[in-house]
Amino acid sequence: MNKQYKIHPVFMIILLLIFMPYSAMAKPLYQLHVEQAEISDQDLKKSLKQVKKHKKIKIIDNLPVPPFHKRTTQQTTQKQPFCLTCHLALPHRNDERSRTFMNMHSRYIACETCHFRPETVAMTYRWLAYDGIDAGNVLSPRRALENIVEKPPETEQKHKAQFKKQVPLAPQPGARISPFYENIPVLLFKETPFAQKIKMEWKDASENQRADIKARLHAPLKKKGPACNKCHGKNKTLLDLETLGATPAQLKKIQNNTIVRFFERFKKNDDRIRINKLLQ
Amino acid sequence: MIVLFISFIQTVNAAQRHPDPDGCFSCHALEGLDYIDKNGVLRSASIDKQHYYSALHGSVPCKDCHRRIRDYPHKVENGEVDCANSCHVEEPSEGEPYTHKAVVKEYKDSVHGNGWYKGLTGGNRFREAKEAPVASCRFCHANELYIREAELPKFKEAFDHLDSECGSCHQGEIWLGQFGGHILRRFIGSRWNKNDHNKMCNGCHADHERMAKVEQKNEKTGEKEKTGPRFILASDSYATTLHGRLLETNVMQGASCIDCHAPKRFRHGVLRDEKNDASTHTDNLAETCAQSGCHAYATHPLNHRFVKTDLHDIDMIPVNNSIVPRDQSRLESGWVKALIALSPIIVILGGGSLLWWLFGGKKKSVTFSILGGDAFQEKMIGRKPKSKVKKKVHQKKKPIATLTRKEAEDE
Amino acid sequence: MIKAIEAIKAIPNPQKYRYAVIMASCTLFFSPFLFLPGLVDNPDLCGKVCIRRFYLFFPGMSPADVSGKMQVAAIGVYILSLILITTFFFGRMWCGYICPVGGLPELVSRTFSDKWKIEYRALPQVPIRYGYFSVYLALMPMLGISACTLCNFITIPRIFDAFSGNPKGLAFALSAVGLVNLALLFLLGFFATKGRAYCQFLCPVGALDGLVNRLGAKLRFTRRIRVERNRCTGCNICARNCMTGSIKMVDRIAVVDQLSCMSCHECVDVCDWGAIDWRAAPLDEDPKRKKKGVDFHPQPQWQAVYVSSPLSKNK
Repeated sequence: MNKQYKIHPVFMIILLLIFMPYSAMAKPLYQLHVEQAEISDQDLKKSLKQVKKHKKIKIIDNLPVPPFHKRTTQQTTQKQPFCLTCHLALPHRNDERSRTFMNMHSRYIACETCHFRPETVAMTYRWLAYDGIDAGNVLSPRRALENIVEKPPETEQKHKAQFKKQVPLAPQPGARISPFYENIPVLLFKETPFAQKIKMEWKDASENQRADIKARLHAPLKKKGPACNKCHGKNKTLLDLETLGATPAQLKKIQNNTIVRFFERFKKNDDRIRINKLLQ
Repeated sequence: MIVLFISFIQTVNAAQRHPDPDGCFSCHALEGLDYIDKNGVLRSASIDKQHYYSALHGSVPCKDCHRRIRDYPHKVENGEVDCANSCHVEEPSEGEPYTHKAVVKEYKDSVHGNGWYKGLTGGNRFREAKEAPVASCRFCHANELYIREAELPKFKEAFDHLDSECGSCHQGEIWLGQFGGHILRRFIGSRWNKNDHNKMCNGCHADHERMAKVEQKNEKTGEKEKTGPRFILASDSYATTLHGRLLETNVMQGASCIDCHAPKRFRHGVLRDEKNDASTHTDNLAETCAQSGCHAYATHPLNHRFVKTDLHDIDMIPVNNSIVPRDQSRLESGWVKALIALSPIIVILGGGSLLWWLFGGKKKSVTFSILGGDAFQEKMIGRKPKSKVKKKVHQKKKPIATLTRKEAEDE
Repeated sequence: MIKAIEAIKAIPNPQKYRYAVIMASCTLFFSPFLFLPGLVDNPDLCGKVCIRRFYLFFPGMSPADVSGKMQVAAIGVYILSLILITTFFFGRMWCGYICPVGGLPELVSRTFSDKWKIEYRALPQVPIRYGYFSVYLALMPMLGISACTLCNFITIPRIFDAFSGNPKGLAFALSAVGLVNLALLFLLGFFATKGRAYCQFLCPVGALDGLVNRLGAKLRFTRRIRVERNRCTGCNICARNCMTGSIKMVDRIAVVDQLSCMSCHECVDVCDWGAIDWRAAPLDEDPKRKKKGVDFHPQPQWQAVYVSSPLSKNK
């Protein structure tokens, strides 16, 4: 008789999982920080000023005057980070010196990798897929997937090496290096409930409310990203490139990047330096 | 395809290919160097290196055009390009530095002369799109591939025969290397076909709003005045002509805009019809029409009216055009007068037919038309029409026996 | 309505067949189907399929110029040759049975009352037609008047375009040139008796076709509308019904002008006496020897051509 009423253990686990309170599931670190953010009055004032000044940017794509040089194609991904709800896909605009390079990096490095670096937290950096069937999932680095033996360039004809497409570091197109905390990606994508909630709130909000939302969203973030040598340098780097799948040749290239060396010479924001100094 | 092409060009030493003496491509070859500028325009500093080296300017180092770039970040005004500059590429026959100066001069003397030909930067594309009155150099010309992808098979075939065909007389390796590719590129045919010409011109000239804003200088008074419907609707009136219709269906014997308006030299020299040098000036039309492959008989003296056939006849455009305000001049056309003369007859006959349909009519065995029916009967059938036969009035004489007394007395 | 049905019933069967062919031809050549022009990637009947342009004469033309023109209108040359060869053997089949540009006005015209029409058939067709044709061939080019002026091959297709939603049609119809062409379509088509005035006077294809028709008519093996003079009673019903006005009563016997006849067969359908037919002339069958006592009636002599004779009088 007892056996009739005995509930199978698996059944119990399933029941628990279904009725488990939602809030017990782990939240992305960024969301936690935003929810717990403390905003000072100064921050709020600054935020209100920005909200009032803001003008929507109309992107002009097809001018009747075509560009003279052929362009590379724009990148669009299936999944988009929460930041893109407000910011452009090419978010860097103001710093003449670095805006193009930063926008280039946004193709394979997620926004939060550079802009969300809370001091007290240690995060790991892994490849996150933004496109394809595993969109939203962690990807194994390229070297682990394939057995590529790189031929040193000297054995091939010189001119062909110029045009040979280098094997990219990213395991698949559209993948970006993102920070993870306790195995959960730090940032959210646009479709997550929290992101949708913020979007709804913003739509119906007054200016002051908007200033509040804006301040809270940006409180855990840093405006200026890390210095170039934080990733391109040899010591105490932010990213462990070997774990991300870089071969020794690729590592050497990244760490000895000429452009990075050139940028290091800039002392002030509005400096201009002779390009031929690059050769020195 | 492009890689194939480059591996062929390995053997052609026309000019040093892949030159980058200033190392510009160390940054500019990177993919993704894009940003949105303050006007909202998508700007890109990435240049497809493989494409550039296979393109028209592939032998030209960056600084030959962007002359004064010295610093980073680049000062915008230092990057300005002047299309009339010469560059380090030497023109093979003379050995002189190559330049587009002659083309620019032809362009400056043409009707498009106040277009931008220098001071061109990536940034001022936006301003040019808004402000420039006419097409600039880059409006029509971009850095295209040296050989169009569609023509690569043809070029490859010709290149394979270079040694056997051209080399049978031109024996020098160096000569072949220098001139082979250069000549072959022109041998396989022009990069632009007639439909490309038309598309390019129509980019502005088919835009009626834009054309309505154009002002031309009146030669007599020297004042600027707006153009008329003939100019504004030029693209449409051309499309109704045989030339336009042939090209639309890809029959390449039609004349494109440039074939008539700038057939000579660099083909940028479009001039107004009134100017004596213009290819479309009444005195020069015969020569223009008689150009190679077209109407060779046009120079014959008896054909001087043929040569003046109106190829921008706005009588072919709908009369009530919303773009051009109703112009009195259009009503003075001979066609309109003919229409006015023909309409009454149509109205009468149409009205009659309509009434006949609605109300029937006695169905006679034979009906002849009201206009000309009589002549038909007389000439074709050979009998007099009924209306012309005089009705004889028969006066029947009454028999005497029936007369009354009075009538008999009268008689 | 009943009147219409009765009128349709009264049409002789061969004529019904001809009307059906014309209507089918309209759907094949015109919008919205554009089946035949579509086979050669042409949106209308102009350009490379044009059959009236490549034989224009310009002073100073060289053979190279001629071959150049023919190359551009290559398909048109092919079509015209086909038309002329068919005409040589069978009479003007294209004009009478197939041509949608002539056939459509004819069909529309037949629905209108016979009274409210303009009678063109009495006009001297041959001088007018060939006079205009020579002007068209030689003088108009020299004067710079385009061959596309007064062309019905663009007017009617553009009307169909307009009704099928193609903007080209409306644009043409509302232009000054288009409106005049439309007016002529009414005057020479819809309101002309039997609807074929444009064909007879202004169509260069018709003029050429007529010449070929006349050329072949004397040959006995070609099929033409021929009159058996011995059977003709002079009732003139054929002349009255002739679509093109090519039958004239001369000395009370019908004669057919082969420069104008379109072999439409209508005269054959209405002749009760069997005196007119579309046929080849019978071969001369005079035997060398006759059987004794047998009476031979005069052999029928089907004549095709009208020769203008000063002796014949019109009453």
